[in-house]
Amino acid sequence: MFILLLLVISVCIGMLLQRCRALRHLERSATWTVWLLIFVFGISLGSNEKIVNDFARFGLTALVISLAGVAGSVLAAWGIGAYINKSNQR
Amino acid sequence: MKGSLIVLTVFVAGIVIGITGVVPASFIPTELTEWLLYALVIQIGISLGHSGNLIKILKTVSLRSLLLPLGTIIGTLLFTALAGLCIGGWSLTDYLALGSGMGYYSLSSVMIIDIKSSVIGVQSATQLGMLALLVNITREMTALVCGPWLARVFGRYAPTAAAGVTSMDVTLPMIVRCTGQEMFPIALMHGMVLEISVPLLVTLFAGLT
Repeated sequence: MFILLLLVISVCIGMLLQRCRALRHLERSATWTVWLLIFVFGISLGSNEKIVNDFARFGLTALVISLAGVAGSVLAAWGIGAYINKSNQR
Repeated sequence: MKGSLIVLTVFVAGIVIGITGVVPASFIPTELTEWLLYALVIQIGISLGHSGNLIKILKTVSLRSLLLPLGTIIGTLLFTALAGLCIGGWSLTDYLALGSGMGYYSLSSVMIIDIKSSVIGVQSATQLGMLALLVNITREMTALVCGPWLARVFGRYAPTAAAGVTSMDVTLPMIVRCTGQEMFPIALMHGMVLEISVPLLVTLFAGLT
């Protein structure tokens, strides 16, 4: 919940500083932060021997299960999107 | 697509560097990921407030947007169960517990080890927990990498659904970038609802034998 609080505070700061044009560059820096986050995430996974070893053993099962989960949720989202579009047209 | 490729490259590069030990794990503070996440949230928040679209965005949120997290839960569990039946090895409820993580790998894996240890023994429970970690990390990565493509093929709700819990943090920038700022509150609410559902669902399915 700390993240949500941080988000609310940041949004308020952004609204207060609406006139500060330099803040437009934050979208770009956010993208860079994501890349850095993923990079560090990769290092911490790679340096964990237990995870690397188990990845070789369970990698395929994990891949199939997670892709199945993604497929199921995406199909549900697809149906929901179609339903919302339809009821918006009415 | 360029963005996804960069993310994938950066991730693989990180793993390789981690495996080779060029950068020792002790060199990276454990809190670094957390700090980066906070930095990210602050940047996203400020630019959202700064853009002035917020009130416009909030007006588009309706009760109907609760449909999305519900769809994600049902779709994920249904397909995870089907895949589990095909693979075998673990029981159906074990597979449902794996799917219930919805991308929340830290919490779901620890919970599964905790609950399962007394039922199937520490060894098997740890294996299932590690599998939960891998399943849910892979889900996060799949959503990050395939999000833009999913948005084009399956519509603008697809990346959020694929992201599961992570639609409120790690994959949020990708979702906003490829489906527009009006998806921001929907993705956030989606992540929040799932965050509450994950411990409940994992407890339910891991407890069933």
